[in-house]
Amino acid sequence: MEIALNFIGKIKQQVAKVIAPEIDENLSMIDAARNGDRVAFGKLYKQYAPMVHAIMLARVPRIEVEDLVQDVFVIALNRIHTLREPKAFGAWLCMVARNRALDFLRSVQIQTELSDEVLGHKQPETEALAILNTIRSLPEAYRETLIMRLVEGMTGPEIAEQTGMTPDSVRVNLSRGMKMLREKLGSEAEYETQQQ
Amino acid sequence: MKHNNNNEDYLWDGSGKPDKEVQHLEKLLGQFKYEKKELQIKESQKRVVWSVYTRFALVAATILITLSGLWLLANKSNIAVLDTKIQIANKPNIKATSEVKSVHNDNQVQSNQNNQTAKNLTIVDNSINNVEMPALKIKDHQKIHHNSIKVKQVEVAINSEDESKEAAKQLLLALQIASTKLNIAQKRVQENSYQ
Repeated sequence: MEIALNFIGKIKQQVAKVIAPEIDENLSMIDAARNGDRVAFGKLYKQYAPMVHAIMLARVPRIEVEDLVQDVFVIALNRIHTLREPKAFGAWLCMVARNRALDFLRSVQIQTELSDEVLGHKQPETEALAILNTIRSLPEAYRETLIMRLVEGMTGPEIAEQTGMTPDSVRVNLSRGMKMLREKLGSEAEYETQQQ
Repeated sequence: MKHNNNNEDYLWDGSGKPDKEVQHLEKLLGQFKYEKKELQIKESQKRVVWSVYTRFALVAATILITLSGLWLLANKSNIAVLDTKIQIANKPNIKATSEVKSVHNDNQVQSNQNNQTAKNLTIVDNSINNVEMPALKIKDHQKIHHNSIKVKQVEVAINSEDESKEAAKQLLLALQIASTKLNIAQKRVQENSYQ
């Protein structure tokens, strides 16, 4: 039993040795960005932009997503010096993105509730858009994770690392979210065949 | 919709047996994937970084305000002292006058009757001089002189009170000017940093 435990411990150490430099590099990059290093912040932007894009895509009209992603990073650039713990950068960025999306939705509601048709943003309802809208109708935790996985092509471990969630939570969100999506798509397909 | 652990693995990290449905979704939804773009930051969106000069100006202003506050406090206590002096000067010093009278009478008696030494007289005279108010004996011109001294003291006290108030006003004005100048300097620094 002890031998087995020692063996597992050694494997863990080896894995940590392989992963540690990457994590260290990431943390030092975040630290440099906190201290005003624009190049480091540019690297973070490239690394985390898909995650922010997914968060926006899960909430706001598609036409607004690009601009809002830029907004989020501008806000992050101006506020990154307030980030105390570099490890929490991903989770912090998620919060910035969610808050920006909320602000946008509030402002749109306050200004005028113009529909996409009035704005000329209405697009033909393709299968892809229909699926995206179905994902958007899922609970928040599921839709974000599913979009990161299915749209942005991120793997579960990558999602966990960037968002600050535990791998188990991500796995559960993916699994349950996919189950709900299948059910919804199945019921919609049934509804369409009944209509025909 | 069949799926097993292999499909879960594929959903998790793309390993294991590919899930056809997930693959189909990936293919369809891939068109919405993030397209790499450079981060564009307008100059107006940049955070204003406080320059060394601005920081120095702020620190200097803080010190100036603190010092002037302390000065005002000290000056206020001086004004309070002056007020008490005025009150004391306005009250008649009856007790002191009566004491002086009695001492002076004793002195006259002693000098006329007992021929005491000059030393003793000097001692008694010193005791008279130690009395605070010069309400010695009490001729009319002396009274007038004494009253004029009192009036002068009161006038001086009032004048110094007015002066201190005037100084405080001037100091406040100077502080207002200094803060206005600092604001202008800060605006200029910010404009420069935007440019």
